[in-house]
Amino acid sequence: MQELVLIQPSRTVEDELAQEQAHAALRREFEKRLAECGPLAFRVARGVLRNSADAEDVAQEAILRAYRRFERLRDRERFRSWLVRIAFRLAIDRTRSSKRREVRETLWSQAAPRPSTEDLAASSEFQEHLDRAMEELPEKHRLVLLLAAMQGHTLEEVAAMLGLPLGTVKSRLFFARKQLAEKLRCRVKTIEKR
Amino acid sequence: MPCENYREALIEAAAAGNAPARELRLHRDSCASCRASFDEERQLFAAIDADLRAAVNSEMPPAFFARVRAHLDIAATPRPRWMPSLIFASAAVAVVFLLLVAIHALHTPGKDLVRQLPVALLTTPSRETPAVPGRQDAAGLPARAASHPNRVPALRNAGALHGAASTSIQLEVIVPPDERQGLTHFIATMQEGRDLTVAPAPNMKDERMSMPLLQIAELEVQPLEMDKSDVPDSKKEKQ
Ligand SMILES: [Zn+2]
Repeated sequence: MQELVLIQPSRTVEDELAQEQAHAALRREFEKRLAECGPLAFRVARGVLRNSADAEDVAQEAILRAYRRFERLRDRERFRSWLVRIAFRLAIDRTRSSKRREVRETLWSQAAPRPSTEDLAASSEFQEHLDRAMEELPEKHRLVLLLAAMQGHTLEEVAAMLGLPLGTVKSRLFFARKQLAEKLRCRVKTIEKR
Repeated sequence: MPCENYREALIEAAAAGNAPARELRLHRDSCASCRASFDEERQLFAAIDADLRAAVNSEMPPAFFARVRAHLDIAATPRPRWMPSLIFASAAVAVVFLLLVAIHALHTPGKDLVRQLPVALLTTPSRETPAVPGRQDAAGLPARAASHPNRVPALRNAGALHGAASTSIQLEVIVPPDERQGLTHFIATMQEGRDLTVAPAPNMKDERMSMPLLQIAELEVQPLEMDKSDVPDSKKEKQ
């Protein structure tokens, strides 16, 4: 290394300049992808974690990982698909951390029960049950469910994002919803009776 | 078709988010029980969908991108050029420090360091340095290095190994037990093609604790006795 510097100093400087320019170009390209797909990473994480602060941490981690291997992920579809999957995986891992779970359960138990059960989705108890039912779903079903719930994503887009046939996405969605309903049916009835 | 089957089909229609088929619709409209069941099911799916949509479509924190960019900047910052040199310099300082500590420990009486380390002995044949006459160990090895009492055990081990090696320089190397074999192998590799022999250290597990402490006796400086033959030249000239 040092010998090279001594023999051809000007060339090394040129190399460094070229390298810096390449890095800058790569960064610009990454920023573009980030603007397109960053919200997706956050939303997937948010769907799993149900907490914006945690979701932001996870999305940032996913984005950093994507940045480190961006040279292999320059293709737009590939990048989006990879980012969604890694954000989902990191979020799942975080949910599984027992400490976080404990905190969340404490928060649930501390949350004041809503007097009306008319709007089930707004009931913290329902959310807790749904959370648990979601955790019990196979991951591939869960991911499709979250992506399909995102505004502006048709099932065709979800299929393209995951590199799956549309029929597979539809059947995964169907089974996921059915399974969730089965798990929640009894619990919801209990809430409604109160 | 019994109500049970209709109900199952209605639930599936609700799960798929599709409108029920004509036959199902007709039954639902005529059967209060199935209608109630279907409505319940639809309500449940609506609640699930609402919850999921709320979770995944929530607003992004306003500073999200700024924070991400800050992280990216940190990740993209190249290491300063002096960093490798600094690491190398630190490593060198650490090695020198460790050497000094080791040397200090070896020269401090009462330390058990030497006792804990087995001693490997390397023999290099040479005729330049004569052995001390009259002092031989049990195996007949000239005990040149044994003039220092603390070296005797190592030398005896070496003697057992080398048997009749008659003239040699004794190089003693202190090696931790787990490095002994590696060092021996290394030296053997290095010495390929040279006129050197290497003897691996014997297994000294049992003898390790019985090795005497390395002690350096205090230096006693005694007054010089003047010999008659030591008369200065000027006096000789006068005589
Ligand atoms: Zn019926």
